[in-house]
Amino acid sequence: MKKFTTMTGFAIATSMVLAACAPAATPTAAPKPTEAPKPAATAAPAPTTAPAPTAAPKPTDAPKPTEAPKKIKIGLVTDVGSLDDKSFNASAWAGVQRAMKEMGDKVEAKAIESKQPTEYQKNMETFNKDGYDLIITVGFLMGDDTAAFATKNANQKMAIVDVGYFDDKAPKNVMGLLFSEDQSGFLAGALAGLVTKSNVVGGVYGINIPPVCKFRVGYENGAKFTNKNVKTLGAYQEPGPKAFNDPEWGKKTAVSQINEKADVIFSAGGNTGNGGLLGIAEQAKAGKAVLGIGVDQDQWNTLDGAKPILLTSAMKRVDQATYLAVKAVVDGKFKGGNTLFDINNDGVGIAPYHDTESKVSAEVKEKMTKLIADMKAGTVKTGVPDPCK
Amino acid sequence: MEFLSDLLGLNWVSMLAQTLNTAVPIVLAALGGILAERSGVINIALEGMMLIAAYAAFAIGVVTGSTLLGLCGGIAAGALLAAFHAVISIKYRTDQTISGTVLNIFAVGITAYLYRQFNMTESVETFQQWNIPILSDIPVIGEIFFQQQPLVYFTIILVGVVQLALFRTTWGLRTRAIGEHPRAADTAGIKVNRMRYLNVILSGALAGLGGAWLIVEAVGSFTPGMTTGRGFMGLAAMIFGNWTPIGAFLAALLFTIPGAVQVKLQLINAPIPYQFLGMLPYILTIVVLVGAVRRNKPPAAIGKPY
Repeated sequence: MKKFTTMTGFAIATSMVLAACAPAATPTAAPKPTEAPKPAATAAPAPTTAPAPTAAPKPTDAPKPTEAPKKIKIGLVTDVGSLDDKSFNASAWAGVQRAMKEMGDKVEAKAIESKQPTEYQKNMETFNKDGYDLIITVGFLMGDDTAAFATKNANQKMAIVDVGYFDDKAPKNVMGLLFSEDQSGFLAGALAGLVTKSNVVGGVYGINIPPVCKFRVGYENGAKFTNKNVKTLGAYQEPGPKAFNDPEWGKKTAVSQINEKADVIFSAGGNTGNGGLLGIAEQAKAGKAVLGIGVDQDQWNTLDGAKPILLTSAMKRVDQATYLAVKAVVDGKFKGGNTLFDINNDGVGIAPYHDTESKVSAEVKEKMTKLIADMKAGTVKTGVPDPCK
Repeated sequence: MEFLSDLLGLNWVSMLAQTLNTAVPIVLAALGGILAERSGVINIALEGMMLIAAYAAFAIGVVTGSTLLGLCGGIAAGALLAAFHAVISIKYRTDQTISGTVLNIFAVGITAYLYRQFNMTESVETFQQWNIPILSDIPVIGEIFFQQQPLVYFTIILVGVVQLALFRTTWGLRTRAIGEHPRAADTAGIKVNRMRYLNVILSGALAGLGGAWLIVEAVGSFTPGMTTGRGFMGLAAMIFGNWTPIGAFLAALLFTIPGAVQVKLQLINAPIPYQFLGMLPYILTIVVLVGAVRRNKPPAAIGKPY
């Protein structure tokens, strides 16, 4: 019996250590209080003892970050998607890393991936207690928790991706980083409408939250804008643990739409969307003339398997937004309030054609260039309602 | 009435074909569960075994450039983890539920760690569809059953094989005997623990096959936590199917059909909230757990070390 306890304890310990010490500066598994009790206690001599990787290094104990901080510390908290989703969260982290590279020794950053919504505030608190100068929370789903936390900790500078606070109670210490997803969705849809031969365009989406909804409705409106005969298909995931994280669902949903004659499919939903793109690539390999559209980043750079079928990506420069938030803190110009990233400040847009360049005629390219110009001038509107549902 | 014509206009046959495909990992997990539990060992680590197998299949597939080697690696990884489970629960007589839970946690941790350490943007080439000559030309039936990827055929064959093996062979009789009454089986000269080792390792290999399916046939690329409960769905299918392979197979289909219908209904903007259909598999699971399960009987000696 004793042997068993030791072994089980050791297994728990090992798994937690592994989960905790993941990448270069990213203590992924935020301390998981739920796992600690049980037999681990009896197996005390095991290596972990304190499963709180983030709280560990506290050299001098006292100093508040405000008194002559040597380094600006940036903490990033993701929602339940993973940091390496090759699209949304990855993009947010890339912006922070770019700031680290460019501002060299001035900035250091860490990230925590939330495993479930109940951990959001706890993870923010971890950074707050360690005297982080800026906490960036990533994603619409963290909106309420971020507001609550910011109100409680009015001196903590914070920034949140995809959320803006508009009412009187809006916390003054939060930068809301908002995007006109409808604009890049519209452009992607316009291109899809021009390129489709079957006049059916599809979409594989994460869950129905405003940023995803804006992508979707923008895309569908864009397709109808350039192609009066187009039929649009699309499916959302249900909320829950599979949200943005079920590539197999993404794939089968894409294939399902190909079976309904869609030949261009917008795949917007983190890892779920990646599965959609890979599914389209598989169908293309089997001889079907189908194309896919990526999301958030230029996915030609992040998802090798999708390269041959990637028409473009509906970009949303989350990296630019997080980079600017970090820069604002470094330059001492941080100010709460909402910032909108849209087509006019290159906050959104569509990616180059890359491998599918030959499938886009010169005429279509010209139309797209004109459309982008019109959108910048404000003569073309996406017609996406706000709030999007 | 536009809705009705839209409904009829959908490609339902391809949906059924896809459902069969989606059920594969759940069926394989269920088969794995059946082998372990019929021999008297609880295996709730199926989920973790699938996840580790998925990572192994991905990593080995990408590094070697061979999907087949990836598949073998996935199976081996599942079997290896199961061997560990077998040692703790048979040799060290642990509570099997705890051991299984630990392995599930371990799988999440180690795969996320490895995935992060060796960040790979490549993906594995997935197996192409095999159309079976002649049979695949039959209308409807051909498209559903005979225009599939290789593991789908293999899984259907496995269901039959395990069903026969379990109920028509000496090995099956012994497996069931040690799960029902190990002492009696021991008296009859059956090596109880040796057979349990074998069954648990086979169980892991099957779960591993199911996990590898996610990579070699479904999407070709790994995502942390990508099994998203398929192992547990397999367990539910096993229980619903009364610990028989064919029963579990049908249960798995029952669980996967609502999801496929849900997507189709979304495509035509059906006036039914898609969340309802999305919930259906889970509601079914609960109904099953409180209803059918009361009649279903698990092996008598389950969870008891011998």
